[in-house]
Amino acid sequence: MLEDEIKLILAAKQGESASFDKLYSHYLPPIYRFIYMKVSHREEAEDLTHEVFLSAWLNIPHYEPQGFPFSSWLYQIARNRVIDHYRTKKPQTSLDDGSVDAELIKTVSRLDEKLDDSLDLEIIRQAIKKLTHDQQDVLLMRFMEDLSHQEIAAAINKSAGAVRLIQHRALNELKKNLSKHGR
Amino acid sequence: MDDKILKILKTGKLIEPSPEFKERSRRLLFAAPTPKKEYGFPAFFGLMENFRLRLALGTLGALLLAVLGVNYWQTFNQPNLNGQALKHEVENLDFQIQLQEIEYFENSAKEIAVILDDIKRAEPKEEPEINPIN
Repeated sequence: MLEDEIKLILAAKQGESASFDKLYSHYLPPIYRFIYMKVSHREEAEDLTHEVFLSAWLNIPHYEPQGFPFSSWLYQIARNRVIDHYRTKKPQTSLDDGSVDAELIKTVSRLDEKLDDSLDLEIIRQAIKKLTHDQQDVLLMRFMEDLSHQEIAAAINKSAGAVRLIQHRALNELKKNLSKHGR
Repeated sequence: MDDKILKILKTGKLIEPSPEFKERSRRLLFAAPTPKKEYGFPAFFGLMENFRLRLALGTLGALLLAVLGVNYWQTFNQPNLNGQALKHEVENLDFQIQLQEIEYFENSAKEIAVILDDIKRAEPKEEPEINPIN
């Protein structure tokens, strides 16, 4: 959680763009990652990420902090955007399944210098995309962004107990999907 | 296997948006109008975004208030419509009606007495009986 987050939120609610800018800078990377792991291409992830923050900026006067970090609200908007994106997306010949995202390999290997890890991440990303939206969201928020069960529960409108159950099922399903890849 | 999956998932944290996207998105974001909380009738407040319309509606509202204000003042501040004076007038009204009634009855009694007297005088006198029966 960002330092002075409540103050920044209250100022942003009054229309102070400088305060919202601080929230934007802090939360842009995790929201972008979350969306990127769920869609096909970098461009799609960028467009959807922008839409998430635009929606947050326009609706922040109606946002009421309820004891959860601001990120829970942003993840909630992000997951709805991704669901809408898939709902309205025209059916295409799937180039994603089984293919390797060159952008992801470039990004991760440039930063980490471990090509093998980035290939593994791309394989896991493809396996995750075969899970339900709830299962994808729980795995990404829990293991990539280290959110607590409570925070995830607030983001996906479920109880913490339900989140644990989804996490358990998601891991089992993921392992099953990966074993088909021979991993 | 779980540990390996989780370890690989953690490497996803290295994914970052490009600085160009970050800057472009920020510019577009703050080019959008500053959000304001709307208290109902969003369509009305949407209309109010137009400056000339706001000015026209504001002037019209001020004129309407001025006309209504003058009208109100004229109606309720005239001396003969003063609340106390009206009350006093109403209280005295009953008394004045009673006095008028007394005057009417007094005058009408006199007139009736005069009329009855005239009628009596106009009637023929009774003739004495010629053959009274003994």
